[in-house]
This record gives sequence, structure tokens and C-alpha cells, in this order.
Amino acid sequence: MLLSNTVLERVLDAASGTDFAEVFCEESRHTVIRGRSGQIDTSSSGREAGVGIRVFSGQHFRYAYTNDLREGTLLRLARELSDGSGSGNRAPLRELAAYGDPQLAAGTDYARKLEVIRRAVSAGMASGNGVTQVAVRYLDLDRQILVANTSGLLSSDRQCKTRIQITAYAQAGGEIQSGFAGPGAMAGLEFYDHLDVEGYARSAAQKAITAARSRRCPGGMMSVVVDSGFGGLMFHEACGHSLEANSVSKGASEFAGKLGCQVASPLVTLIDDGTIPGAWGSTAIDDEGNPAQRNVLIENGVLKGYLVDQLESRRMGIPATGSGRRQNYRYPPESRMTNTFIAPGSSTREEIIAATEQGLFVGGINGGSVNPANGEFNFSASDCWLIEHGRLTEPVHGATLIGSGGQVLQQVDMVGDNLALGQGYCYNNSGALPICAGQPTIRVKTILVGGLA
Amino acid sequence: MLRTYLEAFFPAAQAAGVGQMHFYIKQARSRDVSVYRGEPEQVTQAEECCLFIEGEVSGYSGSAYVCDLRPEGCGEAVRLIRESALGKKRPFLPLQLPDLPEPEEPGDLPPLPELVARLAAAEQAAYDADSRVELVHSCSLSEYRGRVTLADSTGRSVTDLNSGGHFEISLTARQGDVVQLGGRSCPLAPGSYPDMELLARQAARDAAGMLEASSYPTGHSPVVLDSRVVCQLLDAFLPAFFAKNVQSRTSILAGKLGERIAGELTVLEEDPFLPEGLCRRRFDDEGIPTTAKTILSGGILRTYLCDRQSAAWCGLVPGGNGFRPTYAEEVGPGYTNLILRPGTLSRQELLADMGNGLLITGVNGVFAGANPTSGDFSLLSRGYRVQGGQLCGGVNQITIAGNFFELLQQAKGLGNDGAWIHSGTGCLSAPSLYVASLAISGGDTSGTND
Repeated sequence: MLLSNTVLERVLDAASGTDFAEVFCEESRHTVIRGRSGQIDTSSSGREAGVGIRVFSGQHFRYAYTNDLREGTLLRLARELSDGSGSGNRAPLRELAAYGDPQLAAGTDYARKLEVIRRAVSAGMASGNGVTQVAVRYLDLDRQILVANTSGLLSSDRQCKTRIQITAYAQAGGEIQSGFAGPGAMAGLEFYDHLDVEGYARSAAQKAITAARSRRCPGGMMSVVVDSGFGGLMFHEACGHSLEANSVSKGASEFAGKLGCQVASPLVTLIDDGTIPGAWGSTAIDDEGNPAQRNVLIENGVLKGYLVDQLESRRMGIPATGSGRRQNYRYPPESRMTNTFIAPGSSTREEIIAATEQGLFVGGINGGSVNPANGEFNFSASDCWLIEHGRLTEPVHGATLIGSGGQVLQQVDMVGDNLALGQGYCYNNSGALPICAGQPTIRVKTILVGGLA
Repeated sequence: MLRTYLEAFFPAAQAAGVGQMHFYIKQARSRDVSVYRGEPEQVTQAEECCLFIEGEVSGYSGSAYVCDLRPEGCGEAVRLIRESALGKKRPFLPLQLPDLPEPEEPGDLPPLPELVARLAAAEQAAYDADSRVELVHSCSLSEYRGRVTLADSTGRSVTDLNSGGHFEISLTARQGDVVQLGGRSCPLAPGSYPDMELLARQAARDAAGMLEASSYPTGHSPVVLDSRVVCQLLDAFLPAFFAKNVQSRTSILAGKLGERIAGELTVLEEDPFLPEGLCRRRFDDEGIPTTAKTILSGGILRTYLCDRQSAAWCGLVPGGNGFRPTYAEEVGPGYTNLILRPGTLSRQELLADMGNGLLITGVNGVFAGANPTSGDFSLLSRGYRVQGGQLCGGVNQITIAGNFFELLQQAKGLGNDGAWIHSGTGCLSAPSLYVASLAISGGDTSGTND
């Protein structure tokens, strides 16, 4: 590991003239390769190592990071952070709590990685019907972290992740549209042993072909059926971010002060679970060294809890929930989501569509954002079809869903039995993090669809 | 540490058959400060030195990035260079380093207490601007002082500065149960600060102005887009101008060189030496001197932006547009200061020309709601109703939608203003724009607003 216990203790001592001090060490290897029809575009592989030192003084914190791992540099930074306001007490470091599978490795077989890309490109391009390009981004991450703090915590973890992002482009008339598939997991190269790479590539190509031949989506208020899988990003944005303690503690969340209140339809149970084995958003411990948890945030529509990191735990006087996450040592941690999903209900997907007289079917969500203070969100929808008289009738493109989290949670009137998770990234103050978003097929009774037509 | 690393790396690389090499070295110090209720809520400081190494193996280019300067990691970097060279099989292109004098060292970051006091004054100015401002969530300033050095294995090197920063304030205003967000952000030139208190007052007005906002009928409407909105749209659709995307058939501008793609008034230029520009790079990350160029004039597409590789693919001459998105990535298309040239009309004149319609002052979700491949966008928006050229009430919870390139064709007027934003590897500026018609989706009864 990067730093010995002796060095860790010296750095903590240098920073411990505060209420709390923490040293976060990280060593990571990362590969990103981009390819497309006929060539490998770019390749980036390498190694980083760095240390972040954080101190709390009352409700505030200071943070410093560096990739200069010399003890003298770390001690200087720690002393600069310490303002002498705290007790200076430090608990002895406990025995190391080591997490993660030491056998797990992202894998160093570069040729195998190129093969995965070429398989995806080849299958996507072979889909024909106007497919003009297939761009593939392969990535893997092998990350070892070590966290020590003045409360005596000493934890380490090894986290390996890999993902392949496939974007297919298709042209029909003058219209170019794209389709996407992006499976990923907390795993090494063995993830691809059984992954249907060609199937995902054909799926992306088919979405692009359908979109290129579709007409522009009409706008207005309507019923919306969002399919199972990454459509759950709607809840990640619509209420997940508003339940992160860094918004709640300042009162900058529409859900602040509403614990125990009915904030959603009784059909909605929202869970954030960082412990799902092998899931893209899972970790054994968070980036503050605390074990990941399964946190029920909303149960049958009633607000049950928030996602809480250590600083917000101090500010709010409630326990941390294993939710302190950061992209790497350059970021101080914040309360963030892991794998967030709506629990399954009892309707089938077919029943939900058949029960919808007029509306929009949303197969996937490209991305979105929210303002937690008033819950106003927006999502860019993909793979959309009009629903007419209980049937999917015509593909459309260019739809955006907007509304406020509190309203849309109350408008969920059907929840399917087909829970699935999708993989993506969440961008916020502590960086870009792998997350899963998921849900069964759900229906929102009325929501504003922004359309191009 | 860097010297020690390189002294270990050279012999290891040569022993493994790596021939010519070149190095991109990024050294940076940075500081982020935010205040909350007059106190420094968060202070982050950083010191880093990282490098990206490219090496020639059997005539091919391989690479590795290194932000772990312990010499024992050299062997791994050499292995990565060999693997990627023999895997990608892309020819190695030697650097042609320009002969430039050393740049002047940037000054130190200002003392922390002085900065905290300035930020606290800005925060207070927001509260003072309107009694309905309930909470300033964030009032922060990020600054960095960076140096970029390109070097090759013959010992030649050239250095440039890469410094800047960013101010941001976000807040909410409340009236009863209605909460609205306001915010302003502003990129910084090294060593200079914007009028943070003015920006804070503007953010307060943004939020308070929306407290009695309502939706708008679904239909089509004339629109004036505020310069900050035009900047965001231009930023989202710039990839269409990259030669790399043209060559890969993922740009809607493929094959349109020399064609009219925008209104006659439209002029889009890159100028690394623009006095008000925020990016001061003298050469790009491939060592090619940055140059001023016209991308659109008279609405006609004059060139694409290209790095060395995509220039070769497209038969263009590289003009200093090869930049790394981060130190750890290969060079791709980029730019310094891009400017969509302003027109002559004031904001009031644009609104008067429009008569009735909408002024859009903010959009959200551009990263997902704008499709750079097709040019389509559909975005959560807010702004003001305009009647007889006068603002008459806020509008929110609507979307505006259209196609960016159709919008450029149909632009009826350009403002004489121009905001700046960080964009890609550089920054860009654009004026307000009067557009004849955009699709509006709102919560009110359907109708046409033309």
C-alpha cells in the first residue's frame, strides 16, 4: 500500500489540531480505448497514485491533495490544513479492515480489450439498414484505496470495474441519429467471457436505425410509460439527488425536514444499495472507509432516510450511511448514490402499456439533471414510441421530460414487476462516479413532454 | 520527483526497444474556496505533476500516462507503451517543437483571507439584493496556475502557461411555497477577478424574477436567446465542426465545406491572441503554433478544426487545434478562444424587433438534451414573456426545442453583447440571438404563439 502505518500516523498527528482528520490514499490503473469502424482511435492507459488529506473544524472542512508521496510533502500539507482549533486527540489506528477480492484484477491483456471493441464494431456495422458508424469506448479501472482517520479507522479496498459503451449512428434521408448500449460491472476482463457483446451492439444499431426513421416527438402534458432498466435515472435525478445530505443539511432540498412524510405515491419504494454483488455502482466500502449499505430512502411513498457522509453526519446529527464517495483523491467525498432503484410492483409491462390510452413510451434515458432545492428536473429520453389506444404505434425522437421531483413521485400510478438495472455515470461535486439506476416499467400519469414538433 | 522518474524511465524504455519518445508534462497548483454564511466552508488546495509519454515501437506510436512518479513504476509504463503501439498500429509522428522563449511565471495565488473576504462580500450582496433570497448555497472561486511542457527524447522542450479559474454563485429565493434558483458563473483570466458582487446581485434577480413565473402554451414562438444560452448551445454543437467527426461520418456538417450553413451575419472565429480571450496558449499539445482562423463567415463553412491526425485524414493543414482533454488522454480536436462575432443590436433593440415572444435566459440539461450528431435540442428553459418589446412576467417549466443548424440559418438578429464560458479545452463567447420560431412545450393549453 502507498503509505505505511507509521507515515499515516505522523500525517494524522500533523493534521490533528482540528476536530477530525483523515488521510485517503489511492493507487489506480485505468485503461480507456476508443475504436470505430476500421480503426482504433485513441488509447489511454496508465497509473496514478495520490493522497488527499481532509480536516474538519466545526461545520467546515479543508482539503489538500497531491501526487507527491514524500513524507515531507504530506506533513507540510497536513500542517497547513490544521488550524489548531481542535483537541489534537487521535485514537490509535485499529487493525486494518481489508475489503475487496485480492484475486480480482482489471486485467492487462491489451489484445483482449481490442478484440472486445472489434467484436462490437463489427456486429453493429453488420446491422446494415443505414448504419454509418459504430463507435466503441472500452474502459477498465483497478483501484486500491486506503483510508485512515483520527477516530482510529483504517480500511482498505480493491475495486475493479469495466464497461463497454457502444454508440451506433444511422442515417435516413438527411437525418443522423444515434443509439446506445453500455453494459458494465464491478469485475475484471472475465466480465466479457459471457457478455453478449454482439447482441448489445446490434441493439444500439437498431435503436439508431429506428430513431433515424422516426418523426419528431410532439410536446405537451401526457401520460408517460418509462421502461425497466436505466429509465430509473428519472428517480435518480427526480429525488435521489435531493436526498443526498449535502443538499438536505442546508435546507437546499425539497425533501429537507420531511422524514416520515408521504412524499410519493404508495406504489413507490426507492432504495440505494451499494452492496449488490458485481454491480457497476457497488463498492465494499465507501471513500471514507465505511462499509457500503442498503439504504431504504422511500418506503411505500413515505420518506425514510437520506444518504449521509461523515461531514453531513456531524452537521445533521444522524449516522453516516456508507455514502461518502469521490471519483479519486483529487476530490473530497460527498454523499452520493451507488445503485439506486425503484422496487418492483405487481403489473406486467404489457398491462401498463395496454392501460394507457394516449401517451409516450420511453425506452431509455440519455441523461438528465436536477435542482435539488425545488426538485425541478429534466431528462433527455431515447427509444421513444407514441402510445395510442394501449399500443406502441410510431417511433419518435427528441423528447425531453420535465417536472419537479415531488410532483412526479406522486404521479406514479403503475409499477411493473420487471426490475432491471442500467449502468451510467453520475456527475457532481465529488466527480464522475459509476452508478446504476434501475426500475421496473412504471407509468407517470401526467408529465410535461418537451417535443421537437 | 520528475527528474528522478525520467532518469529511471529512459534506460528502461530504451532497453525495451522504445525508440523516439515525447513527453507532455503538466504541473499545476490550484485552490478552490467556497464561503457559507460569511465563513470559509471549504478550502481545497492541490499540487500535482503528471505526464503523458508517447514512444515509438517498430514505427508505431504507443503511450502511457503517469501520475505516480515513483521510479519503480517505470517498467509498467514501458509495458503499456509497447502493448498499445503494437495493438493500435498507428504510425508514430515525431513532435516538431516550436522555438519560443520561456513564458513569464504566473504570480502566486492571492492570500486566502483576502479571497474569503471578497467571496463573503459577494454572498452578502446576494442577500442584500432581494429580501426573498433565502439561501446562498454556494459562493466559490477556483483558481489554478499551470505549466504545460512538451519535450522529446533529444532534450528539446518548450513550455507554455495554462492558468485560469472560475467564479460561481448559486442561490434560492422563496415566496410562500415557491422556490426558485438563481446563479451566475464566470471564467477568470489569470490574476483578475470579475465583479463578484455584481454577479451575486444578478443571480439574486434571476431567482426573484422567477418567483411569480408561470408556464407558456405549447406551440411555436419567436425567441430571443440570451448570450449565455447561445454560448451553451454553441458549446454543445461544436463537435460537428471537428474534422475527426466529419471523417467518421458522425457530423451533420460532413461534405458542407464551402456551403452556407448559417445566416449571412454569422461569423465564427478562433483567435488565440484575442485580448479579451481567456486561453493564452501559444502552441497546442502537439507543438503546433496556435493560429487565428475563420470557421464561418458570411454564414459559409470555411474550415473544420483538426489535430494532426484528423488533418491528415481530411487533407487539411493542422492549425494548432490538437489538445488533450486531460493530461491522461491522447490529443483530440480542441481550440483556444472561439467567438461568435456579435452584431449591432442592443438587447432592447432585439426585443423590440421581436415584438411578442419569449426571452430565454437559462436552459438546463444541455449535456443530455442536445444531440451533437443531429443538431436537435430540447431543453428545460426559463425566461420572460415579451409583449410589445417589453418584459412582462417570468416563464419557467417549459422546453424550447429545435435544430441548432436550422436556428443559425434562421437567425434574424445578433446582439451586441457577448458572454464567455469555459468550453472544451478553451473558452467561447457568443452574443444574444433573435430566432424567428422555436418549438415550445409548456403546461398551458396548447396553442400557437406566432
